[in-house]
Amino acid sequence: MNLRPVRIVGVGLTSFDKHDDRSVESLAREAVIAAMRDGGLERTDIQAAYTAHLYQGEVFGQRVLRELAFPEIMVINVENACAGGSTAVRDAWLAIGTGQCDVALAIGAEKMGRGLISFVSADVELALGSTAPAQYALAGNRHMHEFGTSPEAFARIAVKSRAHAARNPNARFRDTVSLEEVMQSRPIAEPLTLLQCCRNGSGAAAVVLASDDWVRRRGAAGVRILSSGLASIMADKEPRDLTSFGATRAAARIAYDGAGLGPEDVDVIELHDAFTVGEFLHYEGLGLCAKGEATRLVMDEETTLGGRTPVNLSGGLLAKSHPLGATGVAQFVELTWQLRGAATGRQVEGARIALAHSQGGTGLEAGATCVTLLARD
Amino acid sequence: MSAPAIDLVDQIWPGLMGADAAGAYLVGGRCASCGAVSLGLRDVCARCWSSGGMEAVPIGRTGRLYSATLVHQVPEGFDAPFLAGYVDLPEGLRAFAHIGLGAARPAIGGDVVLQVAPIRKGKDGRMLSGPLYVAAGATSSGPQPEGDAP
Ligand SMILES: [Zn+2]
Repeated sequence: MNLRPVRIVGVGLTSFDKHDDRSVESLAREAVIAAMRDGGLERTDIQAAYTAHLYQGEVFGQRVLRELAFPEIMVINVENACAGGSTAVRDAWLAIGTGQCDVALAIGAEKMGRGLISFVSADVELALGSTAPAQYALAGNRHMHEFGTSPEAFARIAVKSRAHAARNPNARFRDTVSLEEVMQSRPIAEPLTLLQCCRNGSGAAAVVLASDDWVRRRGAAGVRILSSGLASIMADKEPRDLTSFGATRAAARIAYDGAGLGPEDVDVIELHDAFTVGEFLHYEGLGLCAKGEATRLVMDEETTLGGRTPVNLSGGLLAKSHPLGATGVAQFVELTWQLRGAATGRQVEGARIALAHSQGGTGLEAGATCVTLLARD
Repeated sequence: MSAPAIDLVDQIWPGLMGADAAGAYLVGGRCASCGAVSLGLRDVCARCWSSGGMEAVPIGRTGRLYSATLVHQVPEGFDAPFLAGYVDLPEGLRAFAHIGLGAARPAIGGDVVLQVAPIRKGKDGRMLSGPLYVAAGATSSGPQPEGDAP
């Protein structure tokens, strides 16, 4: 695909929290204003807006933007489960890359209730009591069966997330936790315990993307989007290897091939850690190690700050909570800061190549997975 | 042959299961055009896209446990904890189901046999039945004893 170069020129984020007293539109506007100011943009610069959410109702993006007096722009509402935010960024990248517009907003926002996420779709597995943590737990138990993986390997990921979050003022849960605390927290779906499951949260994130031409004309700056892959597994009821995240592998292959890079070139990653087991399996899916070998990455702390490929320096979903539509966009905010060298307290020194990964759906892979590569000059 | 002793009126999901003299089975759909078998009756065959109808066929009387998890935080209507898992069926399909506990608990990779069991409460408080796979040989596996509804 021959695309114009595209850069992220502005990023913004709200806190992720319960936000019982705020409307989702208000949260989204706060993120939009922050991203616009961060990039020094005027509202007349914006030609399109891609807005991701799951449960916020019709023409959500228009409801957000009309209160900010944007001109007559193209607004597209994006739904791709928990990968919606990444899909919105990807769509904005493609719109600019293919020349439909020069500058676009990608916005993600969600106002969440409490407890297990209740999906709208009727599904026999949901009727039988399947839950999101149960799905990941099933994959984790199969990995334990096939590779002798210990529950501790999963639990250590939660310890790492909190250690990173302690360094990130934007994270929600910033207390460090010990391995024992993680493993002894309330069981949710074995081997997953409470501290290995992301919490619901409300919040918003926004990024502004612009063509490289526009950025140069303006004398602006930005980190470059190199490539992006989006994949779904369609035949998800067929017997297949649940420990091998096929959609992650497929999306990663597209992204790596598109950029002419491999996992060994990546300096920093934000990935979809709704559950520790998910992060663990995504290490293998993204090619950070061979299949069955993620335990080594965890034990050698290769994905911890200071390690070879630090993952989720923001604290990830585990320490930030998970406002579904906002989650994917927020990853781009963190990675932009990392590539700018502005991630104070948790900066990966000299980071040049970054990878964003998000996954959503009602089954493990019945939704969508998006992998995007970013670079600084 | 007497009527099956399994109460299949109050199923969690309409048309999920059936029973005959040989015991409980999951309802599969065999495509009239290409013969492919799916979990449940579908209006379109996923393989050949025919909408020419499906014949209900019994599947999943037995299987092999692919993975299982003890679920502690359960949705409304379920008693905690329950064991749930994926069972690979001899027909080449994989089904999500509840799995036996205690002496009926199979190991991952172990052979399992289908039973019908009360799984959850419906909105009106009635118990609804669904598939429960137990370790083969652990209980009165195979055909359900007549007159001994679970
Ligand atoms: Zn067919």
